[in-house]
Amino acid sequence: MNMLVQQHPAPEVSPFNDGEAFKTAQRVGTAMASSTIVPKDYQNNLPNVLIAMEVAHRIGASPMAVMQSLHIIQGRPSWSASFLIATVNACGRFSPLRFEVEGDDPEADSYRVRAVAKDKDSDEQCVGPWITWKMVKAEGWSKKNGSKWLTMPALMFMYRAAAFWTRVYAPELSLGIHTEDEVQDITANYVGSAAPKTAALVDLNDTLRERAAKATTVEPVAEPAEDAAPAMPDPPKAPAAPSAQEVHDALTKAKTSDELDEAGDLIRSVPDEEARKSLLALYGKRKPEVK
Amino acid sequence: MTPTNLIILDEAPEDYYVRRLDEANASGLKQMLRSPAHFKHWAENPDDDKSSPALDFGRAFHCATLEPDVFATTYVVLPDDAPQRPTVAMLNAAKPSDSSRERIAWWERFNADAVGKLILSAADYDRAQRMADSIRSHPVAAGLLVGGDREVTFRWQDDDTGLACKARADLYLPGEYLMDVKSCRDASHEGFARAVASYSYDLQQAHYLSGIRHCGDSIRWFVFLAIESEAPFVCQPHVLDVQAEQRGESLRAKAMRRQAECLQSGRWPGYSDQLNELSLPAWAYYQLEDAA
Repeated sequence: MNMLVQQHPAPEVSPFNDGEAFKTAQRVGTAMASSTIVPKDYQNNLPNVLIAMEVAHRIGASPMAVMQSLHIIQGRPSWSASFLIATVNACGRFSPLRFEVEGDDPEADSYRVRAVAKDKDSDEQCVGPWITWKMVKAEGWSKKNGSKWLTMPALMFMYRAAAFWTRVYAPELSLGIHTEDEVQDITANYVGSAAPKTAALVDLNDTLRERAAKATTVEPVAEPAEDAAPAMPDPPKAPAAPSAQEVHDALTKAKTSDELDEAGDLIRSVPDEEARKSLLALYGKRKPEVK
Repeated sequence: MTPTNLIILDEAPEDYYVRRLDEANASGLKQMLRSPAHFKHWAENPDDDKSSPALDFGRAFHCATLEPDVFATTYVVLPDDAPQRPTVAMLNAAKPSDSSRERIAWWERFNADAVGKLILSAADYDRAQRMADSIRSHPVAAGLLVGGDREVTFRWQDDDTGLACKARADLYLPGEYLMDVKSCRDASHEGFARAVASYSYDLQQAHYLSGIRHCGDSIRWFVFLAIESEAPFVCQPHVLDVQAEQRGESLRAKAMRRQAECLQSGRWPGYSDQLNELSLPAWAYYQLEDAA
């Protein structure tokens, strides 16, 4: 990953610098988007490729490396943690990221990890915040379905420590984009992107959920009191369709044009098509007789 | 709260839905965004869109969701196997046949039961009920329907323009939220976001929240309860993000200013009083590049 970052110097001009640069970037991007070896999110998706090119320009990486490491999770772009670490290591301003680990058992409550690196210009030791189980539990990261905090905690501690360190000391490298594992942790267990994003909205969501649950158990909507009015009055029962014989009799007995028309109206209610044809013929035959 | 700023719990729909050039409500403001001429036409011709099958169903569904007790006493269902209405000839026949008498009697009984009620087809009745049931079985949406007042009118005077304003919320829970039920084709995040942008629901939110503030409440939330009008009638409550809220406020401010200016000048122009030099959308030029 370091090699990918270092061996492909960033394009000197941003694709969004001016019209000419954009046209050139479009041509290059179109070629990349038509490749089958770029990740799926970028195949035949010129806008995504152009954004990857711009990101590559800003962080000094190759567009291909960005495309391989910038993933879209539930609609959000996110870095692979290893790429973020590689980007920090390759940027030249810091010594390679290292991790201070306290404790031998990653599953123990006292286990904690933080990332450190030295600023090469000032020689300052840049120390990231501790990642602790208390933090993991309070943020609910380990409570998500299939959480990797439960299956590979040591690696998750390091990835999260690196993400936090980068956000504090080199935000220009992460561009404010979270890592893949962070996005998975902070995306609540709701369907799609409908999850509430702010604490206040989460509170409203929880309040409504409680009210709904309470209403379901205490006030069942679908069970009206016995003495309450019925939800909808029963409509009168529809009369049975007249039989072909009944319509035949009505047509035969009709003495006036009105009576014949009235009987004629019933023909369409007879289900049998052959009978209807026969009745229509009778109606036609009788029409001149009753005029 | 000044005397002109009121929360009215029992305003009759026929009083609320009167349209006036000197009064601002969300529907009128959306027309105003199109052009003052469209707004004026809308305000002066309320009968043009007073009733349609879609509107009638929308009212029934709102009633089934928000006021199930009222729904039960207001609507009557016409069964699928109802006989056809008797013809004039049948009604006037001196000696109607047995089947005609049955048809006439059936409709007499039905009409007697339906006096003062609105008639819904069995299919629409079923659809309205299933949509309402979908909302009541959603773990969060159902909570929105607990408590609160239905069909609440807010009337106030706008500070900036001096215009008389009004809004009518589907549900108002004082101190907590306003809710508006929207039937739609696609209640998903992406689908409903398109609907909000297309139909300026964000403007509606800005208008309603302005009203509630003028009337002395400082609630924060406006919840859109989107419900799909086709099976399986999926519903999803949505709250607009900050950017969408701001867009709504900008759109409302623009429409309010325009209405106040037109009212003052007495002129209700269309799109522009000047000759327009027409530019084509960007996509039109892609065809040119393709051809080259």
